[in-house]
Amino acid sequence: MAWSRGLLWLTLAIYFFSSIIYIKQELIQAKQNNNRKIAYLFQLGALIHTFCLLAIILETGYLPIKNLYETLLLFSWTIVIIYNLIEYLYKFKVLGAFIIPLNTIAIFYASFLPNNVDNLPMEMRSIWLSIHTSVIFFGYGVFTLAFCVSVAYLIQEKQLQEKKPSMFYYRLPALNKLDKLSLRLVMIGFPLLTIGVLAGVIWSGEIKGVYWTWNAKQIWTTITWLIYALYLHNRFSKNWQGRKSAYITIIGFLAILFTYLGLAFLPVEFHDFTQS
Amino acid sequence: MNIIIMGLNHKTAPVEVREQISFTSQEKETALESIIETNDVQEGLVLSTCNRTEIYVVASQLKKAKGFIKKLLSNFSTLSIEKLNSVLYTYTNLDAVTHLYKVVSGLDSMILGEEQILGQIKESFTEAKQKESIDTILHHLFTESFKVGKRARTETSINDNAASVSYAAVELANKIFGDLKEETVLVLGAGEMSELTLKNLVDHGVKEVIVANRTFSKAVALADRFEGEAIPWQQVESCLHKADIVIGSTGAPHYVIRQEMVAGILSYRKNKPLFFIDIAVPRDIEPEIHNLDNAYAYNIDDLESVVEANLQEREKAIKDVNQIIKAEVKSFDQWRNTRDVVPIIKSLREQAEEIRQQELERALAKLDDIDEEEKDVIKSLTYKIINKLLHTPTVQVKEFANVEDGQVYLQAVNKLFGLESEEEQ
Repeated sequence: MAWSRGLLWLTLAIYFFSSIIYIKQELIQAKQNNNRKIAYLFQLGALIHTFCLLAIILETGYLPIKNLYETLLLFSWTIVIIYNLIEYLYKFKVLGAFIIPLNTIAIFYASFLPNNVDNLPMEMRSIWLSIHTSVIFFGYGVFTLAFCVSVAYLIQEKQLQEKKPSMFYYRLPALNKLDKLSLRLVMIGFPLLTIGVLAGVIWSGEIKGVYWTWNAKQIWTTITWLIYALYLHNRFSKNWQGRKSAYITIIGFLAILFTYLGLAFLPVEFHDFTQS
Repeated sequence: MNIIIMGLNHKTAPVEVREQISFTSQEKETALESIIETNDVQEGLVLSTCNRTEIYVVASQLKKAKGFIKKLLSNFSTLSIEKLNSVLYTYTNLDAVTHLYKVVSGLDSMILGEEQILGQIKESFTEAKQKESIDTILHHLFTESFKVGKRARTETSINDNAASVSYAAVELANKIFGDLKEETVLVLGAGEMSELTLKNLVDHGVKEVIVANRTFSKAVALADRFEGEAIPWQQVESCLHKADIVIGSTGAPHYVIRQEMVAGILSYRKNKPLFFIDIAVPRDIEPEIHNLDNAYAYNIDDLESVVEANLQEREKAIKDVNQIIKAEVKSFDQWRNTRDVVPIIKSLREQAEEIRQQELERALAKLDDIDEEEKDVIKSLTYKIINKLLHTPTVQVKEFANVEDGQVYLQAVNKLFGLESEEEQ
């Protein structure tokens, strides 16, 4: 317990400083052209974050999917890793000025959460549960970034519509790039969500003999799945580019937020992360 | 040695004055020759562009140097010394260095951060180097200044974002499409402005060029220059769906592209964005097109206001550039100071060596009956003594070079040891 906790604090501290530097450099100061250095600190944070999750796995002997504390760490780790990739490939650093502070807050919040690891009875542990939860959280991370990219798209679109370039006009990537990036992210996230849900269904069948119970979490997951299915359908068969698609990914993200956090405060069998 | 700059620019002098004082390349050569001939200045360089004329010199006496520059400027123009006095600015030493660094970074330019000035200064430098009118100090100063100009533009955003309408259009295209490798541009009208904008787009990698013009032969001529395709004017509407970027630059008295023409093709284009650049007056592109989803229409005023915003954005970088300049001025100062102390250290050493030799001779003359080995011991003893004695002063003098009021210390060293440094000779 001590190791993962120490690493958590270290991660939090590095993310906190990275947040300040990113906000200062990307939103407050004049644009600097070659400044790779600030990314290194954040990457170090991501590395320690990874170690933190590994420490949890070693300490508890199971994936970090057992309660809200662990899933928040996993969720924000996914976002951090994918964001790093996007920053590297797209030089889309202004996104970091929003992603990193939000991650810092998420981890800060997580640090207050109860972390009782004995809440998962041995008989419930199964390969299907591991796949179910970890894959779904990875998918959520990808969708969160698709949401951010879509918001960036809408901001850039608005600038071009109003013909008044502001700070974001200069710092955000091209419309087409943002549009393609969000499509790419949804195309990664959607199969993950699908696999995750199917694994959950199999697990439920294994444990309880019932595959689907239509509890609130399952209903909302279905809604989320349908939203992204609609997104992909419209993109490929109706050529919905740009604004309309951006709105759908935003709605999809809101559905995820509600499914993950909103429902966490309602007692739902098997899906209640708050009670130990 | 002093570095002196005298000159005028678009801020201090109106164009009527600037045009009289600007140097042709022939005049520049003559000016450089007179710099070589005179004893008033040791090094000199002439910088003359349409927005500024500046003379850079190195001289031991400020007054003489200033007089020389004024005479030079008035000889090469029809302006009297009095008139010159009212428009000239003068910078000396570190202020002069700072001024040059600002000029080279584009901070002093009419269009903030523009890059042309760097090339113009390089040109003046090469001329002066060929004529041998510059020596160590200006050579080092200008070589350093090119570094500053480059740093300002690569490390800060002083040169980012278009400062001209045609370039702003290209940047907007980039903000919509990302790179332009997949894009096709349709040019309406084969005038000069459309060619300029087209050239910028092609330089940025546009895939295909289609040109339409009322006079077909002109369309063919323009298309040929960019390896594009010319189409007859009647086919504009039927070819519109191929284009991702449309440049409107015809002399037509009415809109050439109307909203209903565009509305029809957007879905056919699978909602791919469509960008209209309207640089014609009266306008070619119906402004309502901008209201369609995924269509963007910018007219000349819109582009101007983007340029305006771009220049304001550049202003944010001034602070960063000034920081670079400050550091570089400091490093130039250190170089120059270190150069200043070299003769002091040299004469200090020479003086000591002279005394050592004299005294050694005298002492050895008195000691007849000693052998070579003993002589060597004595020689090495004297050598070691002066070396150890001079070690601390040598180190300290080098330090003085870069402390505040270092010159005072250096003068004290000169006085203390009764040195005559080369500069005073």
